[in-house]
Amino acid sequence: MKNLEDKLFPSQEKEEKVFLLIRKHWFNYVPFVLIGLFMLIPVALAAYYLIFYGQSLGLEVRLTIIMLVSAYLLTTLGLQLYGFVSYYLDVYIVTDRRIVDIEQAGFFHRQISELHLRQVQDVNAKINGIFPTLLHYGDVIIQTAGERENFQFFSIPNPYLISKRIINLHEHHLENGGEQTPCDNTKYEQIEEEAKNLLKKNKFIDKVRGQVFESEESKKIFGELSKNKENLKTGELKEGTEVIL
Amino acid sequence: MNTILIIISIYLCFIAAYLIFSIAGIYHLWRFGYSGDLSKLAILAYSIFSIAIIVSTLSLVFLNLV
Repeated sequence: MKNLEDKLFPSQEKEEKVFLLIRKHWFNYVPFVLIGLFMLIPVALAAYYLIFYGQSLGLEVRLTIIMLVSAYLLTTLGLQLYGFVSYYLDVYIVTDRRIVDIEQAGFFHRQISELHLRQVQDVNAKINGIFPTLLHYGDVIIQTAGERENFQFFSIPNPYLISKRIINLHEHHLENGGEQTPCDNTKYEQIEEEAKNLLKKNKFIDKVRGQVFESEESKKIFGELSKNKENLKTGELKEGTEVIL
Repeated sequence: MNTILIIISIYLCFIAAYLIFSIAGIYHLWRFGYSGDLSKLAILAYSIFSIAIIVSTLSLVFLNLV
């Protein structure tokens, strides 16, 4: 996934972790591309006309056609930019605390709606139609507690998987008493800390072991033990000797 | 010649409006795009295509006039 260290939405808190950043399925952008391609057909015709019959036209007509074609091309490009901004900046974000819907319609309409995870009651996913079934995209409907309107994610890829993840996050959120859920990084940090402590303990034990094995007394004890083992094997055990095996 | 000047000035006015529109679009992508996504690439592609169209148009006009 992308580098999500920067703030994704204005009210994002410092320790708030983003789990999902969802855009609409790419199939929703296809109409813009198709319109753009269709709009290029008149340009091709005008270019053909100018190349083969341009010399027979007057200077003014020729210049007018050139500038009209240019303006038309720039308009097509501008419409593509408009479509791209509307598609690409329209996102759904799921964090460890809430669900955020950023709705971008063109350049001058941007709406941000939020829903806290504790307000989630039920999550449904549906795939409806031929293309959504084939390309596996659909809607996710998040039912909310109280009088709030339901939250809806439209035409997003893998709706079943996303609904499942939202439910998991919601349950995790409730298990933690509605507080911030630990993200993966925190878990890794905890595990790393535990591993370091274990390593320290092991080093200490090894150190103690080393001291025991190196002392004169321990050498004597281990010498007697090995002797006793040999005696056990041969059946010659001295009276009053404690056998530690 | 007057007609040509009028056509060119209309075109330049269009370019000015187009620039304002483009700045609005690019600002949105720059401001609200996320690090590592396609927004910067889209800005680059859009700018290159726009400049290419405008420059080629002005060169064609110049070549026709000369």
